[in-house]
Amino acid sequence: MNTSATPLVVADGLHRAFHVARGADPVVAVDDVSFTIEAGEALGLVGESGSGKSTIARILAGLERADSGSLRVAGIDRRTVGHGAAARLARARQVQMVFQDPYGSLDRRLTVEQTLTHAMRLHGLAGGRDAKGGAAELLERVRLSATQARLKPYQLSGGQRQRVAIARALAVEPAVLVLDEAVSALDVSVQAQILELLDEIRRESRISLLFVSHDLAVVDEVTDRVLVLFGGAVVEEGRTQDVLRKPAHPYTRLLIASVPGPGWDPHDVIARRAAFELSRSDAST
Amino acid sequence: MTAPLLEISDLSLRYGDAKILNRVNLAVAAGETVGLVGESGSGKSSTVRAALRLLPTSASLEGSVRIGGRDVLGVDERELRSIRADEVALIQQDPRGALNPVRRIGDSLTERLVRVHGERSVDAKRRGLELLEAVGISRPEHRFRQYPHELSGGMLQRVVIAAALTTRPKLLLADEATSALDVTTQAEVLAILRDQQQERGLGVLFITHDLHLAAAYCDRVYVMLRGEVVEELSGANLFAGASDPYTRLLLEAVPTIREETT
Repeated sequence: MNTSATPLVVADGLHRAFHVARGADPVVAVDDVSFTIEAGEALGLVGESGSGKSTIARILAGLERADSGSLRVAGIDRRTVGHGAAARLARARQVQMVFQDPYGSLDRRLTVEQTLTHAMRLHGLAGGRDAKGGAAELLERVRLSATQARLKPYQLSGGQRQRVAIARALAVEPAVLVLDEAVSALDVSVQAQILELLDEIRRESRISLLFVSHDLAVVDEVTDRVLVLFGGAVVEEGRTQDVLRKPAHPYTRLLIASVPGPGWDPHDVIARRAAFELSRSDAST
Repeated sequence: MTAPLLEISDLSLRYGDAKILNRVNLAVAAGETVGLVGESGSGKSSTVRAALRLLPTSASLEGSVRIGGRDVLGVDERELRSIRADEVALIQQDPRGALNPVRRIGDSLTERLVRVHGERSVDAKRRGLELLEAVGISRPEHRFRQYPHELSGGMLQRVVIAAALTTRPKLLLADEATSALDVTTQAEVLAILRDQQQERGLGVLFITHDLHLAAAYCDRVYVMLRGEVVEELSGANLFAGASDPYTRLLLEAVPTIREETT
């Protein structure tokens, strides 16, 4: 990989706070987070609920704004792009997102083929027959049949719906694909098929992935590098296989020890958690 | 050994021509945690729902279900209510579906104690607050007055788990009850269940798609495929001892952080 060139994604000092109630302190969801993603690289985000991983994913996808910090994709600043329809479309073309719930993220009135042709037409990528041909190619890439192209979401299984969501994201040929818990709701065998599909897509193209998951084993399988988030901040980062096997930060160690496996004991996890909280409060006083 | 808390014998379930369950046999004894694993559509949830007679009238059931020795499929409505009230609690995956959105958390939490078990509302509230604290909810007094929409999914699931334990059931049917929780929160909740098992012999039927969790937490595990129990293993032996080809396939699909050999 050419490391001298500027990475595809450069996020620097991202910050995001939410005002939850009048008079209450804002909740800091993302606290000075910086990262890069090279073309063709897969970056993982791990951490517990509320650690900020989904907010970061949504900022990259343009669904959420950062209060401060900068975010550049292929050299273009995502924060200064205009608000008009054309600017929004340009932003959406660079980065596409796949969500956890394939039931909620597809238009239930559209067939699979229509879902894909709409996405292509919206971005002016294909018209008329071309769109149909494009849809057929996409379906082949995600291993769905021509028969399934005529079905609507309710006629598909969860795994098939997630394939459609991935195909729709690929329809606009994005540089970055953001996956937020995209395989978490799937059975293990279906999950394995989707992970294999992602692997194929990465080998075929130079697409970059931002992969958000609470499942460390899945992150281990999919990503090259990982950021560990706690309370909105990055506490550890590095090559995924190193971070998950030789964690340096106490929070990463806690996260790994909490995952059920041989010798796992819930009381032990609680004791570790308490020790971690205590060490943090000691450090801050 | 005493009679099991839950004993399902040759349970079959059909909707018209569609066979959902085929001669399912399983048992849960007091103080035992029994896992039920398998893919979506394998019949895990149907088994649990059939055991409580929570199925549409179009369902046709054969076989028997005994909870605390009582024949669930044979009793009248009145006794069925008594079994549901006194013996068993059910926790499902989606907490928003389990709580009334226009009632306060505290009311949902104490309703069964007050209305079904006739406890005084002050006692019910005390027990409710204790349990909220036990499941790791901060400021329980404040939460008591809140509505479901004001809490996150993880918080609500803990409320549902607390609500299930208020009436001190002998048997808990947990259908993906901790699947939506963080690993540390999941551990907190499972520690509470384990304490209740040791203290008062709570029996748990634990449905999960997380095979690592089933192996680490359950005494015994049943594996289901297409409406049938294909294998029964001890939790400790789930990964090493599986002999059924389907179980092996399922176990191999589970991603694991493996040591690199490079």
